[in-house]
Amino acid sequence: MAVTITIDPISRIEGHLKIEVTVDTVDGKLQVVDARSSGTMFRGFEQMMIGRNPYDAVYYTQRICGVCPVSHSMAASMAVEKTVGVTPPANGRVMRNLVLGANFVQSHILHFYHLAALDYIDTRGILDCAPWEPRFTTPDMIGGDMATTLVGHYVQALVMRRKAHQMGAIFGGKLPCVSTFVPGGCTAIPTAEKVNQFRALLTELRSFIDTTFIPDVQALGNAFADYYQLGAGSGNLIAYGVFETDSTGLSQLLKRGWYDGSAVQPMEPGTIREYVNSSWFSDDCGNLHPAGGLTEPAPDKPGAYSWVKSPRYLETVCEAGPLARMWINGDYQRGISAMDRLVARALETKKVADAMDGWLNELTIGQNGYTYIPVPVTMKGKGLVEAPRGALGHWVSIDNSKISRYQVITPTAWNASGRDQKSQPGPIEQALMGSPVNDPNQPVEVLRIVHSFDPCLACAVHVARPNSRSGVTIPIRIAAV
Amino acid sequence: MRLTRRDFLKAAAVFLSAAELMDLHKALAGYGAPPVIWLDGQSCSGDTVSFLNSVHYATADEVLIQKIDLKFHKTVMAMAGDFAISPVRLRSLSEGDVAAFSSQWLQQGGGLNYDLNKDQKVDMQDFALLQQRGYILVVEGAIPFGAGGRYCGVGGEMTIKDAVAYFGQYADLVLAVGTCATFGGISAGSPNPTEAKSVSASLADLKINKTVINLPGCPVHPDWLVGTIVDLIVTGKAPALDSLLRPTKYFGTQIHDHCPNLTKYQDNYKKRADNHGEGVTVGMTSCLTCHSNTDGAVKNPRKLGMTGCLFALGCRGRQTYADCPTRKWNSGGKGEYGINWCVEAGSPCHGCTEPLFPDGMSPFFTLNGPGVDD
Repeated sequence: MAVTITIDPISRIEGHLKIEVTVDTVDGKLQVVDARSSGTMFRGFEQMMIGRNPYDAVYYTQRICGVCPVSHSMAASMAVEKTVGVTPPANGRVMRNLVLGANFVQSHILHFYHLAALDYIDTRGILDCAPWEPRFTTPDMIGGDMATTLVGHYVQALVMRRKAHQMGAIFGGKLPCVSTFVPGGCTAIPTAEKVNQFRALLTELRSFIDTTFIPDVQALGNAFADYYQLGAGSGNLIAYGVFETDSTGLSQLLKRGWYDGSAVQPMEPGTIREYVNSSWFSDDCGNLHPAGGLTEPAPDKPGAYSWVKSPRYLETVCEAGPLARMWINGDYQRGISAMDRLVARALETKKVADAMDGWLNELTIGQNGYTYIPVPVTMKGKGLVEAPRGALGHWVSIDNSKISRYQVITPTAWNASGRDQKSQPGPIEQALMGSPVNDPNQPVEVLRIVHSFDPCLACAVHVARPNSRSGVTIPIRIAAV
Repeated sequence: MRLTRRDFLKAAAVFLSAAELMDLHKALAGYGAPPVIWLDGQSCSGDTVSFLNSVHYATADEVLIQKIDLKFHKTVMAMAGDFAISPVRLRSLSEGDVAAFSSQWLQQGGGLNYDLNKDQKVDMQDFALLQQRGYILVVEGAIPFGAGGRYCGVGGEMTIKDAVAYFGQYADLVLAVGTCATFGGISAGSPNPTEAKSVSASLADLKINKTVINLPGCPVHPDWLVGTIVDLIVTGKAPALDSLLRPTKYFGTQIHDHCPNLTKYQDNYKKRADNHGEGVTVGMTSCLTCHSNTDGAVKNPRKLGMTGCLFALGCRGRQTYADCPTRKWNSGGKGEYGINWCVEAGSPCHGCTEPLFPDGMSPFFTLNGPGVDD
């Protein structure tokens, strides 16, 4: 008999996520035959942005996500710069890249050790206290010396990710939530002392990435080789690109592109559409480009089950994230799976951190990184960038020097979206289908696949409503209190 | 053999300095670990991420392993799933389903930790037993009251509003962490589409009378949070608070009064008095024209990306109480102050620790361009 397993909340992510999977016996084995993801928190940023000063968007939208605020401030700054055609001075571009790079490094370390790894390690006997107890424990989990080593690295990684934030604060003012990004560049001024401080921390982090992080991820991949075959998802990948390496904006460390399942193609943002066929929004909100996007809740809409809209590129279901970026850039094309996502994320950390060392040399000491840009009176623009967890876009309209429309498509909207106008499930839903579930009471396979996407729900989801789905459900108890 | 926290130190020892280890041992011998329940309302998790940056008073792992017993925290906890199985949900299952599930679940071992009344079920009755031990409730994020609270769920059928009502009534003490939790903050920004409220306002609405400590900041500074927790453990009572329930230890001074650019600011006032005659005193509305001159007459050109006083660029340091100028942000070690802060990095203070943030503090920048008069 098919049973539905509800995991709510999915922990060790940013934001509020619920996953429901239907499990049934196929060829004598239990596996996922249906999957639905939905979020349970709504703040209404689209409404709150209207009427605000366009410069405030850089700071307001950072608070969409405390894990990737730097990417939001970058997107909001770039939306103005790209539209009015003013390029920040080289120092501004480089300092912003360094701060964003620092946050990539901290986010990727945080994801592997503190969010994902606990799905694979049996920490009993090592971490016998809350918040690491209670926990799922399945026979396939790593135990023994390797578990002890990885828990040691879990503690060390807390220090390293803290140092990555400290490094970013040198040109960002503070982290999380930077204070130096503005349309026109960066308000900080590099000094020789700051560059030295930055490089010292970066050197330490690069050593950790090379000698600990990457070997740990590879060892995990060897121990869980079957996860190279699980969680494939949609097979299409999208990246907006990030880290402009010169003032033309045409050259990026991680390139823009779209992978259609067989070849990497150019990506034309004008063809992005958001669908609402499975979302609790009125039909008028569907099939729109985000520059003209609408958000009208319709909580009783028949057939809908999610508050996440479904962004699609040329009507294809696309996955965003480090694997998409590394694949499109030609740096990693081994395969698309839960484990490939973890490996690509670690290798991307190295690529970014290594590049940062070179960027430090491009800074002109004592020179500022800011060009004055007046607040535009009327403007329609977009800022496309990458968050650590994937493609991030801000689409903004300005009238009478005030924001008149603001639409954000987050990486997790791509990854956690539901069925679209062609009934195609979203990437996480597709990745879950066919996954084995050896013990419905401990669906660790589901958690491993969901966590491989590094979901970040605060901004992807819209509004909650009570679960009214019928059928047998198994609430996974968290014996938390 | 199951290891204790003390044994964990051995595993951690490889990565900690001798001094850090000594601190850990001291903490171990100290005051025990009060249970903490950390609820996440309408937040961006920025306060959690900031907490992970803690090092000045104690690192995040020291706090988690040595100082507190963190029973629930969505972002760091190992377990997933319903943490509060509502009676509604349990009733929707047949007794057979529940029995089958409970026995299967309890055989796994982990869940038994919280079966405090040994009735082979982990439910609200176990929670009631836990609450007799006393605990600290930490709330990050605002509490939406619109749509019956359904704008934010925390698991199962429970909304954050329900959770604050339930866990709030039994808590020894409530820590509101970050400006959304303390004053509504970004989540309650105009037009406040979800009717988001602060923790204090929510508890008042719910007729729950509790000691609340407000630790604002967008995000909260890790020292404000960890320092307060450590003080609570050591003294066993709430610290001195200002009228907005903020510890005066961290929020007792104005940003402006300790700003490294204060002298430049005062020079500008003097210049204003020289230009415009008597009767001009510090504290009055500033003369933006004087501040924006770039001809060398004032030391304060009105342009970003330069050193100097940022008042004319929108700095809210005169309206904002916090110790950022001395404490700074993103410390690198025990007892060390931070590496930078907003104003030092050339960005005006946005007043993020104040109830007026964000609407009353915006626009965050006043930009008239280089050398352009008001």
